Amino acid sequence: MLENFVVASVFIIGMLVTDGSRVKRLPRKEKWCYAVLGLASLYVAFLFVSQAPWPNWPDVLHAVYGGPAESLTRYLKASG
Amino acid sequence: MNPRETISSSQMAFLATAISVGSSIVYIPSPIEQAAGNAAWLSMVASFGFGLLILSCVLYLNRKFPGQSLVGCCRTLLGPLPAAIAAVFLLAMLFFALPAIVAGIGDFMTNVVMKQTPEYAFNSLSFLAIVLTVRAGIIVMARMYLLIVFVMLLFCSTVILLATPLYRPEYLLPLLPGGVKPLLHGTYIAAGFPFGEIALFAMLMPYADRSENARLNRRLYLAYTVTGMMLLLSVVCSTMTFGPAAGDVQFALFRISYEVHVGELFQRIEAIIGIALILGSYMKASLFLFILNRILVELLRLRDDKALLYPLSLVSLLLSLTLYRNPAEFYQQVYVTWPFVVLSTGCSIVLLLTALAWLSRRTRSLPNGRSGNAP
Amino acid sequence: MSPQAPDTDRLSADMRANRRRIDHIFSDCFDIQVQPWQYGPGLSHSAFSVYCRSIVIEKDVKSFKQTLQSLVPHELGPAESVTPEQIIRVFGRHGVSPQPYRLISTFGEVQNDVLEGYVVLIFDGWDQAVAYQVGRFPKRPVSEPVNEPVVQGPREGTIEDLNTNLGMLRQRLKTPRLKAVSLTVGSNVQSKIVYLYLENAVDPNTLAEFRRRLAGIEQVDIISTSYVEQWIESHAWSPFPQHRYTERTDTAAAALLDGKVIVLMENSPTVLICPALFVEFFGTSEDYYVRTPFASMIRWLRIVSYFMAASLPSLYIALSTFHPELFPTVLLLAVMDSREGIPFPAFFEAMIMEFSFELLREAGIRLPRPVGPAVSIVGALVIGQAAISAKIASPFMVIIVALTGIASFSIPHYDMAIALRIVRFPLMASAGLLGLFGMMIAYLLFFLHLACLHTLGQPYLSGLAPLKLRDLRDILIRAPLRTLTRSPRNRRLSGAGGRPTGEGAGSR
Repeated sequence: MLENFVVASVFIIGMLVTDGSRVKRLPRKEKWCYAVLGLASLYVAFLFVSQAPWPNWPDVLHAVYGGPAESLTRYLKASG
Repeated sequence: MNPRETISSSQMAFLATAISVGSSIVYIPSPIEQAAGNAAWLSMVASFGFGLLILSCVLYLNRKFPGQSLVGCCRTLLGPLPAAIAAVFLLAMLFFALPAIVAGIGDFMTNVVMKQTPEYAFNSLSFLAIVLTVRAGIIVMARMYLLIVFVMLLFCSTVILLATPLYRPEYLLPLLPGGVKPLLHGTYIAAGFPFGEIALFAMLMPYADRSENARLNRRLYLAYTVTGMMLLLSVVCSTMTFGPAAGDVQFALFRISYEVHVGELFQRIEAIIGIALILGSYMKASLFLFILNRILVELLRLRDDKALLYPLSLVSLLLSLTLYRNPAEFYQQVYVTWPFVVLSTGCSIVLLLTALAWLSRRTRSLPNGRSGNAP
Repeated sequence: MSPQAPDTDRLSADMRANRRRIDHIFSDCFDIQVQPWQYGPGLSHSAFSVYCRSIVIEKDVKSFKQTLQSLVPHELGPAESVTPEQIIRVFGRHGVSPQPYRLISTFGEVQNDVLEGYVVLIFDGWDQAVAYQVGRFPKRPVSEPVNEPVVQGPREGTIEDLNTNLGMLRQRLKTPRLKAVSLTVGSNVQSKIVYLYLENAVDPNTLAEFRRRLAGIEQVDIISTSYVEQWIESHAWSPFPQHRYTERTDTAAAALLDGKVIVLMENSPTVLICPALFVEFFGTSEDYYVRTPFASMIRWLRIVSYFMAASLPSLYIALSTFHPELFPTVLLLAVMDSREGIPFPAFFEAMIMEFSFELLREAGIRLPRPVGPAVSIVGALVIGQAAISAKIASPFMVIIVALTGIASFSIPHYDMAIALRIVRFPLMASAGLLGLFGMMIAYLLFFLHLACLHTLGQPYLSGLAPLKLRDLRDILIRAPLRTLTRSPRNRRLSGAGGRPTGEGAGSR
């Protein structure tokens, strides 16, 4: 867990250091998008560090598409 | 969109190859063979046909709406709100696809080549290369990928050729022992990954040099056919090498290269396939990141089109490290859910827009007043 | 073009005032000679000549006598029949004289001309001066350039004298379409820079970009053409050179025919060729003097040597540390055996040996000529052997380093060799970190960097990326000259049935 924490911190800090000065000069809309993506990164970083079984993006996809996808696969797998 | 950046038709063809072959050539044989058995190659042919249909729809939309991307066509044909919804679904697709490709690199390297190195080392360096490439722009990417695709295809062809003594054509029979359903299953998987992903290429069409429109169509079809043939060849060779066990072999082409012995010198050439995989995945992931960024920029009408590249890469990197917790989940996501996502989102949007464009060709005037019959 | 703040004060008709001003300008310059003269009826008229003793050959300074000789029909001793009015009438109206001269009227021009090697004659009662060019001290004679020897081909090299260099180029390209534009740069150096281009070969966009980048250089004190390169290059921090150098006139002429702009500078023997594309660093002029099979083979050898110079140590590190299974078994045993007892990982071993080799290379350049080569060779052998005995490095590593060094010496262009030396170290680091994967990522990043570079508006990897298959006939091989009727990288010279020199009928 510590290793993952260090790694995630390196990634996030690395990005902020590289991009920080540029972000300040961005137009408002881009700044908001940046912030939203930053928050998303923090959430996924938390998942990475803690390995918590909380919902992640594939789970969202599964919630939307999973049902039909599995039914179709089951139908195709059933021996004909 | 920067109207000054244009890519020649041959470069577009190589980009199409990069998106289609990408990483698929090393992953593809096993899931199709697991589903369709010996008829895997038939599934490939059928799904290649489907892919050609999607490609022709993409080219049709390009002809009818020159200079407009997929999102632009959605806006024109569906209106702003439905277009925004479609764009959100496309974003959802790409936020899975991009991390999955890079997770594949990490997975390959940690399972097969360097077992003691943690996955984040590979994923992070891959994303570093990817984001710097995308930042350089599509023109630079188009320039580079011509050579890289050539190298990748050369390496794969070399391995397939050198493995000829291993092939047993009798493994290709019996053809359809389980009936037609396994064939359909294989077709369904292959139509989603990789052939259906050509739908996303519609986001790159605005960058094509419009003075070369006539050659563009021809070259894209040719490139896609070469793609189809390479993938078909890898499936056939994998079936001929491993026979009934083909479906259980992960990274079939890599395993084939393990077995190649040509004299004392050409042994253990799996490094060649490893390089091809990394190159292919790198190209496909860069193009997907570029497309993801473009969809976001066009959806939100952002002025700075490079502003979000770093946070997008960071999110994708972290997602690639948390995508799945075990191989069964990976299989579920990539070979059950993902084909459905591609078909129901990417391909459906393209087919819908094509149908609408075809229906409205007599009644609606085009945005720039030109007829849709430009060469 | 004039340098900053020219002295525009005009000469006066009063010779004494002129003399005072010139003494003031050249105060504390002991090598500026001011020679007074008396002439005319009763030697009543005065004049004086000014010249720089360290530039002109003093015994050849007969300018004043020559001036007077031009005005009388026969040889005359002290020239007692010449009057100032005659001088003003003849010279003021540009009459004929055995030696070319110019009329100057400002102190700025006097100053410039004296320092250029002219003798300036100032007459009492006239507000203009006559300036003659006289013989200068000879510079180094034309000889074969030391750094670019050939087995077969001309051995003419450029020297520090601009006019001689220009003359050699004019003799190779006898066409008025060879344009030579001169600038004077630097308020202190006042050096002349000349850039040349072939009008029907050069790309107008490239030329315009070159001129745009050159703007402002007149204010800079420049010592050599490499300053010009650093002034006009777009990517100062890239290790890869974006312009080429040569000291061979045939290479310069070929570059002109190729549509390049070349820059000559006074007191600098190196010729700058702009722009230079990546693929041009694989070839030399000698490739075109030998036959196709040999030239093609040498090209391949160079491509391999480029690859070796950049990646051989990193390949060894990656394979021996991370992927030993890729060695053939017998070789693997030999490698493992040779690494027995070495305390360092392959990466550190490689870094130590490469660093030592770089030190030896640099030291070898600075050693005095009599002992230099001997000490380098002995040093390399002794250090190599000592390192093996002390178990700091394995014999394999020494061989790898030696091969890398030899490969980098075989690269014909010095700047590209330096670039590959620089690039080698990050590649070794990436190989040491993550083996072949790390090398792959490093290669991709270098490729990306090269693909992003532009030189005078042209993509640096032109020919490779964007790929032009026709250009490969002069990159991967050296196609027979008959098929190279047009220079592959520049298609402005018309080619329909054109001769190999490329000068065709019409230009685009």
